[in-house]
Amino acid sequence: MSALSMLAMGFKQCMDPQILLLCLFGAVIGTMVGVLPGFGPAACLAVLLPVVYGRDPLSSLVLLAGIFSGAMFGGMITSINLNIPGENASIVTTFDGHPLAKKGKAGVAMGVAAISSFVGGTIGVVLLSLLGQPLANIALAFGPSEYLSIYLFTFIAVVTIGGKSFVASSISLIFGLLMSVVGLDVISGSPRLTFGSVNLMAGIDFLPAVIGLFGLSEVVISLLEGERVTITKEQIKKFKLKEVFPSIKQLIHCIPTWLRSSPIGFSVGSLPGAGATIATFLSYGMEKRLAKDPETFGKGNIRGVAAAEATNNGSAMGSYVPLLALGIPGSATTAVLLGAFVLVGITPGPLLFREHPDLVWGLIASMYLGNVALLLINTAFIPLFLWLLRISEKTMPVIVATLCFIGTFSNQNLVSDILIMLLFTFIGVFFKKLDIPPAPCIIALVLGGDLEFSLRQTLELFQGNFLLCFTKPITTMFFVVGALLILNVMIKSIKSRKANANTM
Amino acid sequence: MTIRKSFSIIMAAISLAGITGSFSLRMVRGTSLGPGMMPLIYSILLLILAAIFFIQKDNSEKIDWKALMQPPVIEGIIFYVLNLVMLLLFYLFGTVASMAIFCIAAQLMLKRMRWKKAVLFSVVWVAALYTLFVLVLQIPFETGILTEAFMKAFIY
Repeated sequence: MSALSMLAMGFKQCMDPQILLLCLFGAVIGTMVGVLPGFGPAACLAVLLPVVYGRDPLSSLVLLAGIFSGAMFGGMITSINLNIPGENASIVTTFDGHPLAKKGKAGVAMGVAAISSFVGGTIGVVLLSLLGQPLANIALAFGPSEYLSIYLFTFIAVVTIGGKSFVASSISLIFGLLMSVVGLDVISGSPRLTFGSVNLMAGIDFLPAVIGLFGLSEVVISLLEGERVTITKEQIKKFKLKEVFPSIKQLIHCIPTWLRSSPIGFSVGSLPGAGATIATFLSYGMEKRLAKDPETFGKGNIRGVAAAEATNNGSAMGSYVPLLALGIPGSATTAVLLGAFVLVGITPGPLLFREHPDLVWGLIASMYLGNVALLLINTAFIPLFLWLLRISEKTMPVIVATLCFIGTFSNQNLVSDILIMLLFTFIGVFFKKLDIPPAPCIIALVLGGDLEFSLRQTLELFQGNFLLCFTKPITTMFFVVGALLILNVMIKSIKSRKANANTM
Repeated sequence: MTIRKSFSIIMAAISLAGITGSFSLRMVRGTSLGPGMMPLIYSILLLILAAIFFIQKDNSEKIDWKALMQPPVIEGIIFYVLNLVMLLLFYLFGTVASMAIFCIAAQLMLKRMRWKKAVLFSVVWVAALYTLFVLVLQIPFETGILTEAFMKAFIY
C-alpha cells in the first residue's frame, strides 16, 4: 500500500471522537507546558507517562505526541512577550519576537509564529509520512553489528553535534552509560554496581532521571538564581486578539522562509543529538545571510520569527524519524516517547510500520490534526495562556515538585524511584550551572543496555574478532562517519587553540 | 573551590565506586564480554573525563559559603531540602498528607503566600491531583507505612 493510502487509513483511525479529544487535550496541555518556563516537554511527558497504563496504544501515543507538538508551539508566547524562551528551541524566537513586542507588534509576531509553527509542523509531518517507511524497510536488514554501529554513531553525534563542549557532553553521556549498567546483567544475571541494595537490582529507570534532570532541577536553578517570570496585568490587557492575524503581504513575505526553514528543521531534527535548538540557529543564520536587509534581523524582522518557529516545529517532526524507523531516540523527549511505546507493549523500529501500520499511521495522521488544532489554540487563546503565566508565577515551584513526585512514583510504584529522581535533580543543578547538556545522559541511559547487548551479540557472532564488523558495509559506513565527526571536533579544537595562542 | 571542581570530584568519586564495583565481576565470558567489562570501561572513561574537566580552564563561579545563607540561593536550598523531607513524609504518611504538608511549608518558607492562602491552595491543589490521578486516571497513590499501620490497627 502506498504512503497516501496508509495515511488515509490513519485519518480514519483518528476520526474516533476519543482520539480527537485526546489530541486536542494533548495540544492544550503541551501549549501550557511550552508557555511555562522551567518545565519542558521531556519532563512533562515523563510526568504524564503513567497515563498510558490501561489505555489503548493509539490514544496514549496521540496524547503524548500532542503534548510534544504543543510544547514546541507554546514556547513562542513567553519568548515574544517576555524575552524568556518557554523551552530551548524558542531561544531564537526571542531575537526578533521580543523587539517586535517592544514596538507594540506582539500580536503580529505571535500570529506569524503560530502560522509558521503550523507550516513547519505540517511540512515536517509530510516528510515524515514520505520518508519513515522507506527508512524502516532499509533497517529491516540490520543485524547486531549494524545496530551496534548506529548506537555508537548516535552517541558520537550527540556529543559532537549537540553540546557546546565536547568534554562536558561526553561527561553527560558516559555518566548516563554508567548508570545504565546498574542492576542485573541481562545475560549472566549477576548484579552490577548495586552495592547490596535490593532497590537497585532492577536498574535505574530513565524516567526518574528525565524528571530530575529536566523538571525539578529547572525549578531549583530558577530559585537559586532568583529568576521570577512576571507578566503585568497591563501587558495582558494591552494585547488585542485582532492583532494576531498578520496581513496577506506579511504572509507572502514569509513563504520562502517557511519553505527553506521547515526542511532544514526536519533534517537537522532527524539527526541524533542535534535537536531543534541547533536547527533554529542554523536556519536563522541562513535567513539572515539570504535577506536583502540583514541589518534588520535581531531588531524585529518578522522573517526571523518565521524562520525560528517553522524550523523548531519541523525539527520536532524530524525527531520522530529515527524513533519510528530505527527505534532510536535522538533527544530526551523522544527517549520518553520510546518509553511510552514500550509501556503500551510496542517496540518502535523497522518492524513497526509492518506490524502496527494502524498505530503508526494513526499517530502520523493525528500530527496533521494536532497542527490544525494548535494553530487555532495558539491564535485564539493567547490571552488565556498569558493569564495562566501570571497566575502560576507564585505557585510554579510547588506545582512542578508535586507533579514530579507523583509522576516518578506512579511509574513503578517505588518510593526509591523518587530518591533517584532527587539525586538526578542534584546532578541536574550542576549540569545547568556548568552548561553540561543533560540530553546525552538520558539517551545513554535509554540506549546503554541495547548498546551493550548488541556489542556482546556481535562479539559472539564474530567469535570475539571485532574487526570482522568492518566486512559489513553499513556498519563500516556508520563507524567512518562517527570517526569523521570526532576528527572534526579535534581539528576545531586545535584551530581554536592556535587562534587563542596567536591573539595572546 | 569552584562549582566545576566540586562537580569533577563528585564524578571522580562515582567513577571510583564504579571501578571498585566492577572488579568483583567477570570481565570475559567465552568469546564475548563478561558483566564487569562495560562498567569498568565506563568508569575509567568517566574518571579520565572528570580529570580533564578538573584541569581545564575554569570560568565557573567560586562557591561563596556566605552567599549560600542569603537570598536567592537559600530559597533554592530550602526548596531542595523540603523535597527531601517530602520524600520521607511520602514514605511514612503517603502521597496526600506529604503533598499537603509540602505545599503549605514551601509556600510559607519561600514567602510566596501567607498561611491562609497557602492552606487553601494546598487543599485545592491536592484535591485536584487526587481527582486527576486517582479518580480519573485510576493511578493509585502511596498510602505510607505509618498510615497503613494505623489503618490496620484501628480501621480494618
